[in-house]
Amino acid sequence: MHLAILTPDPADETYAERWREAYEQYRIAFAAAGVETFASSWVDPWPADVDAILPLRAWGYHKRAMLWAERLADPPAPLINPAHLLRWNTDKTYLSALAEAGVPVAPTVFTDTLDQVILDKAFASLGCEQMVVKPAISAGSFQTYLLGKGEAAPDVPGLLMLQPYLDAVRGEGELSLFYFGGALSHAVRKVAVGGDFRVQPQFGGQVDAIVPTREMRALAETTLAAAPEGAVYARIDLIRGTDEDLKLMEMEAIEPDLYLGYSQGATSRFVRAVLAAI
Amino acid sequence: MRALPLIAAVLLLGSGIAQAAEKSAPRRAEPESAVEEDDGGLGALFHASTAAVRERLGDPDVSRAEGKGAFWTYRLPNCALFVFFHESPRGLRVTGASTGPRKRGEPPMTVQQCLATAVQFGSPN
Repeated sequence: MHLAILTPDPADETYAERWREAYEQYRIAFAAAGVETFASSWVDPWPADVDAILPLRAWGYHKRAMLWAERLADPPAPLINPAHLLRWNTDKTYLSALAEAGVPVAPTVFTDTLDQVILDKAFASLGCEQMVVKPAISAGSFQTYLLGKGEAAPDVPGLLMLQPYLDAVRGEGELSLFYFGGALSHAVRKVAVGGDFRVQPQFGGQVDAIVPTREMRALAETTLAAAPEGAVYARIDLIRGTDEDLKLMEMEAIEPDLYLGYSQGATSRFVRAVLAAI
Repeated sequence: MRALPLIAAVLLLGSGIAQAAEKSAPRRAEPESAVEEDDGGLGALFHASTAAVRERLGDPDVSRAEGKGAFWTYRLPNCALFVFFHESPRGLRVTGASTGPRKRGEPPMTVQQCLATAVQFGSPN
């Protein structure tokens, strides 16, 4: 069996060699299961003679979202996760769809343009003193800003999402639950430290394994049940809102960091879920 | 004369590495039929201008300019429609489209079926 794992655009220096280490971990894991993998840049034509395509390292898709969407239109082999889920998950307006389906989502405003008037109105409607602003198609805190009331609106083109900054990122943290083949695998919490508001390890975020509570599982599974079907892998990111209830921050089903090293057996569970889907 | 065997060894080593790289690199799929060669179910909208698309479908729910192209998203009642534009001598023109579900349980639709939904329910705006 041959599996292509999508990797970044080699011309994008943001990712330079970082992706190789991550790809190597997957290559070794799949090789142990008798599966040969190939690294294939997502910006290149699709690879041939593969049984499935895994977009796990398609870093940078958000920078060329149109090309990404075009790539998803006609893959030569099954995509895992399926193309319809990848498309749905590309644009964070999926949060609105989930909210409409009854999932408690962190308060979010979407806007095509951002000027001071719109920003001030957003502060008023969200009822917050600090706000996180980022593109609706983004990843890894790309073009993400933390603004205080009265600060100038950043010049970021395209559809933007605005969410209140929640103190919980520095306390309880962002809670991430990982589901493989629809079953809970493991969970971690990521806490922003120092002066940063971003929880990712590359920004200094502190990561710890946790045992998810019933409350966390309930929200994660409600989210999965409301999302398009077919998720072989998904990371559900939760955070506690100002009302002390857990809210959905994001559902990541394209190229999330799966934090496999934080749970014994997680890698095997992931590999089994992928192979079961092929 | 002593350098020749070394050079030969280097050349052989280089070709061996190149062969190994070739062996491990995935073969690329046959070039996809350029989107332009297949209307992908778009019918009259294939190669249409942005104005023509607006006239038929209304303003998109999301529009994104990217390089010399753009793509528009329409959230239609039973499907999401993504329309791709690329620059041409006559300005931006539709080169392709794809569809996706808007919510769980929606059956997969072709571009043609999704477009028919737009016509059935009228302009989304």
